[in-house]
Amino acid sequence: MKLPNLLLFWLSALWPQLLAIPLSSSNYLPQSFLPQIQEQVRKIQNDIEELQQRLCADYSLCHPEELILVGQYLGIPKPLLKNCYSQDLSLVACLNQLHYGLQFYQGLVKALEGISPELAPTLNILQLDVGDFAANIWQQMEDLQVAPEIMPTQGTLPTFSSSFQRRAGAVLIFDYMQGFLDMAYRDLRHLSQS
Amino acid sequence: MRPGAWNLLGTVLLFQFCKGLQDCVDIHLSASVIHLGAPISASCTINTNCSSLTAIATKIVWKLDWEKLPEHWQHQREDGTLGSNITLPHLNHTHAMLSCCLLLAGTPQIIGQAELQAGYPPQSPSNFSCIMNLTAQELTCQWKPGRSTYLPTKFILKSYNSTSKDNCQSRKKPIQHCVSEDGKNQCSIPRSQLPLYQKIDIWVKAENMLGEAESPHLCIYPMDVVKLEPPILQAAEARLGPDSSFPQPGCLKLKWEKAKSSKHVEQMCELQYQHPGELSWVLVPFLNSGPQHAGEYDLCGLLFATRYVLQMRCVRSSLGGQLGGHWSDWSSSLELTTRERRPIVRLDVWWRRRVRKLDPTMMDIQLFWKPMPTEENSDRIQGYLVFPSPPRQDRESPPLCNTTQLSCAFQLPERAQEVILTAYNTAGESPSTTVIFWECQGASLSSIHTSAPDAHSLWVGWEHPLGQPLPRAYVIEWCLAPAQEGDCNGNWKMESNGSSTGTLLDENIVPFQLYKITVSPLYHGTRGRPQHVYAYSQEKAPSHAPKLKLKHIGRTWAELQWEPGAPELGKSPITQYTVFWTNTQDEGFSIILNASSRSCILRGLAPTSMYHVHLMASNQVGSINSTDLTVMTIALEEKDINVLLILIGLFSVMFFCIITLIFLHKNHKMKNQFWPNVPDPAHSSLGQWTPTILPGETIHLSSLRDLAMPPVSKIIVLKEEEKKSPPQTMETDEESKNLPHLVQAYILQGDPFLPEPHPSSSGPIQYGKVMGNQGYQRQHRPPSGLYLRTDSTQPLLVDLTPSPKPYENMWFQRSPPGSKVPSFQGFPEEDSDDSAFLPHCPQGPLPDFPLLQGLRIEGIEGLGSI
Repeated sequence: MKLPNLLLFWLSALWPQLLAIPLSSSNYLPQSFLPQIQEQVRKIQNDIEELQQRLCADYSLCHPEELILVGQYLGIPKPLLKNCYSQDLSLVACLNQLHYGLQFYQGLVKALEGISPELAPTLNILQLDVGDFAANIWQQMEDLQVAPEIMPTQGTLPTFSSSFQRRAGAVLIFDYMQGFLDMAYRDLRHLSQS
Repeated sequence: MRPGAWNLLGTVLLFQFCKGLQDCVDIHLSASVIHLGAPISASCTINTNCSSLTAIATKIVWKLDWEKLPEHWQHQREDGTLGSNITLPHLNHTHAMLSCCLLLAGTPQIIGQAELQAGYPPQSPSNFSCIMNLTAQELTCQWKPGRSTYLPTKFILKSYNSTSKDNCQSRKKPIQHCVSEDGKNQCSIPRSQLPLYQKIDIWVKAENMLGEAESPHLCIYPMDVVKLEPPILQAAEARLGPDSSFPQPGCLKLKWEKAKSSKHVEQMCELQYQHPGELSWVLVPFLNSGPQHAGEYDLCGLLFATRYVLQMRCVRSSLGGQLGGHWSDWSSSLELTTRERRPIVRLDVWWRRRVRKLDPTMMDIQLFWKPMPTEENSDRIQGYLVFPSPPRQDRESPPLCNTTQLSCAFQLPERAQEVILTAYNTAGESPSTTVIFWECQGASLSSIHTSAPDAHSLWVGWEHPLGQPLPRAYVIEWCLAPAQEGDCNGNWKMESNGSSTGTLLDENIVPFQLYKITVSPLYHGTRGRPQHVYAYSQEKAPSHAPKLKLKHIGRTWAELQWEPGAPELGKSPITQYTVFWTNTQDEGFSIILNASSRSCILRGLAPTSMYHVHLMASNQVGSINSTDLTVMTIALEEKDINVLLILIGLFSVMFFCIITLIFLHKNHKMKNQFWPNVPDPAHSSLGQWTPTILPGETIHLSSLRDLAMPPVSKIIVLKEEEKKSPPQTMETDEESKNLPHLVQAYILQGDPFLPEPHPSSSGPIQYGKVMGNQGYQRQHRPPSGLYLRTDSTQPLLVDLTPSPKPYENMWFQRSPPGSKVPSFQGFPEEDSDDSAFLPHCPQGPLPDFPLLQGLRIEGIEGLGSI
C-alpha cells in the first residue's frame, strides 16, 4: 500500500477518535477538516516523490539507507508522534505533536534552499504545502481553543556546509517526512483497531 | 483697436511677464474634482501690487475651454480690488479648463487657468469571484466594475486571514493587497501569500477622488475555489490474456489521468460525447476517480462501429461533498470508434418462385428480405448470405447469394423447399433465418380495399374470410401499374400482426400513379392466394376532353359523337360527360351523360339556328372542356325531302300517264303497235279476218308496263332502314352501336331470264327479292289487285319472244269502218296508217282461242284478270 493511502487510512481511523473525545460545545471540528488533511497529505507526498526522483536522477541519491553516516554527522532530528499512539489518546497533544512536527519539517525544507535551481520551485512549493498543513492544524487548534498561547519554536535546525550535505540532507529529510506520516498512520490505525 | 492701444498693452504685458504674471493672478476653485453635473465656484483676483494691470484692465471675464461664460454668473468685487467670482450651476464636462481673462481693449486676455474634473464615485464592483489556479499557483479574482466614473479609479483586492468558525467575522492578519492594472478587472494573489486551507476574507475595493466602494466579501478556503486543469483522456489499452477486457461491442473503454498539478485532489469528473453528425453532447456525470491519479470507465450503450468524439472535465470533490471547486475546462477531444457486434436482427422474408421453362426440374427463386432491428441500436450489416438448406455434410456449402442488396435471385431444384438467410458484418453472422417456400394452400382474404390518407401513402385494408383461422402475418406488395404477374419487385411489406385488418404503405408512393397492391395472407405452414387491387394516392383531373363531331342534324335536333381518349397515367377514369350548348341568344343548356356514352342527341333545337356546343369530361378530381363545335340546324329534314320527292315523282308519273293515255286514245296506230289484234287461226279465215275488239283485250297499264320493261340485269333497291326512336339521355354502348346507318344498299345481281343455278330450279323462278323492313313494305305495299310474278305458281312460257307469230299478225288488220272500238283501249283507228296490212281479230269470245283455253284449264283465276 502506498504511503498516501496509508496516511489517509490513518486519518480515517483517527477521525472517529477525534470526534469521540469530550469537547465543549464550542469545540467543533468542521466536516471539511478530514478531507482537507487528506488532500494536504497527498500534496506533500507528491512533492516529496518528485523531489526524491530528481535527486535520484540528477545526483544518484536514491537510497536514504546509503546516507546513514552523513545523517549522523548532520544530526537531523526526527519529530515523534507518540501522543497519537496511546490508549489514552489526547487529541490536543496529538495535534500539538503533529503541528510541531510539520513546523519543524517546514524549517528543514527551508534550510534546503539553494540545493539546486532545478529543485528550487518544487522545494518552494513543498515548503508552502508543509507550512499550509501546519497552519491548518494550528487553525483547528485555535478554533477548538486548544492552541497554546505561544506558538512553539522550530528548535535547532541543522546547517549544511556543502552542496553534498544539503543534497544528502534533503534525501534524509524527505525520507524522515515520509516516515513521520507513515508512523503516525500506523500508530493511529493500531489505536483505532484496539 | 487702435495701434496705439496695442502698443500700450504690449508694454504692460511685457512688464508684467517680466515680473511674473502668476503672482498677479490668483484663481481659487471650490473643488478641483466634483460630481458630474454639480455646481462649482471659482474666483479670480488680481493682486493690488500689480497696479499696472489694474490700470489698464477694465473688466474680468471667464471662459470654460473655448466658451465665454455668461456675465450674470459672475460678479465683480466692490472692495476696490480687481477680481471676479463665478459660479457654474452645473458642470457637465468631465474635464475642462476654466480660464480667467482680463478684458483689454475689448479682447479677453487669459491671465490664469484652473483644471476642472467631474465624474462619479465608484459603484460597488459586482460579480466578484475568485479562482485558485494550482498550475500558476495564484488566486485570481475578477469583478465587474459598474458604470464608468470618468475619473481615475483604482481597484484593490484586499484579503485577510480569518478564523473558520465565525465565517470571517474576525480577521487575523492581512494578506498582501493586489492592485489591479488599469483597465483590467482582475487581480491575482500569489499562493505564497495565501494559506490554501484557511479561510480568508477577500473583497475588492474601488477608489477614486470622489469616494470608494467595496464588493461583497467572500469568505472562502482558497482551495475551495480551485479550478483544476482538465484531465488527460485516452483510450484504455486492451489487456491481453484470458481475462482480457476488450471493450464490448457498442462500448468504449476509457481512462484518464489527472493533471500533474492536481493529482492530489480528489476529483469528480464528467464525460460528454457526441453522436456522429450531431452538434449536441450527451453527458455522463459523476465519474469519481477518487484519490487515485487515474480512472477508468467503460462507456456503453453506444452505436456499434461508430466514431465518437469525447471530452472530460473534473471538479474537486470529496465523498462527503465538503470540498468545493470550479469545473475544469473540457479536455481536448478524443475520437474513438466502438467495436462492432454481429448483427442481431430479425429478417422479414418474402419470395417468388417460378418453374423454369427450359428445365422444369429447376426453379427460379427470387428472395426478398428486410432487416427489422430488434433493439433500439441497429447493428451495421455489411451483407447477406443465402445458403441452401439443409447444408451439405461438410458444412461448406457455397452460398447461393452473397449480396449487399435486399433481394437475391437464384436457382434451386424443384424439390427444394427452403433456404437459410443470414446477415453479417465484420463481427460475424446473425442468427440464421430459415425461409420455407410454402404452397398457396391457405384461404385467401375476403376482400381488400384501399384509401389514400395523403398523396404519399396508401392505406390498404382487408377482411378475413369468416370461419377461417387468422393468418399469422400478411405480405403486402405494391408497384406501379400496369404490372404483369411477378413484376411487382421491390416494394413489399410484412404485417406481422395476424389480427390486423390493414396497414399503411408509405414507401415509394407518389401521387398520380396507379398502384397495384397485392395482399397475401401467411398461415402456419402455408400461405393464401394473393389478391390485388388498384389504387391511386392522388389523382389528376383529365388533361383533355374528347373532340365533338357532328353525326346527324335535323330541323330540331343534332346528334353528336366523340371518341374518348386513351386512359392516362395518374388520372382516374372519366366518370361522366356533360354536353353544353348555347344558342345565339346565349341561352345555355346541358345534359349529363355517363362515362360509357359516345354520342348524344340534342333535342328541342330551333330550325335553322346556330348553336355552340362543347363537351366537359369529368373524373373524381376535376373536369375539362373540349373545344367548341358550332352546329346549324336545317330547315327540312331528309325524310321531309324524301316525302316531297315521292309526291313530286308520283305526281309526275300520274301526269305522264294521263298525257300518254290521252295521246294513245287519239292515235290508233300507236294503239295497234302496243296491243295488236291476234286472229285465231282455228276460227278464222281470211274472210273473217275482220279485226274486232274483244272484251278480253282490255289491257291494264300494268301489263303494258311489264311488256315494255326492258330486260333487267340488276335491281338496286334503296331502302332506308327502320328509324328507331331516338336515344334517350342515358344510352348504353350497345344501344349506341345499334344506331341506324344512313343508308344501306342491297344489291341483287343476275339475269332474271337465266335459269337459277340452284338445284331446285323446278320451283317458281324468282325474278327479284325485295329485302326490306316491314315499315318499308307497309309504305310500298302494292295495290291489292296487282298481280306479281313472284307470287304466282304458274309456270312461265318458255318462249316469250316479243316477235309475234304469223297468226298473230291478224292483230295488225285494219278494223272495219264504223266498228266500235272501246275508248279505253286507246288505239284510235284513223291514227294508224299500217292498219290496212293488219288482219282483224276473228269474231267470237276469247275462250275460243285454243291457247287461252289451255290457260283457263290451268288457272281460271289468272284468266279472269286478263
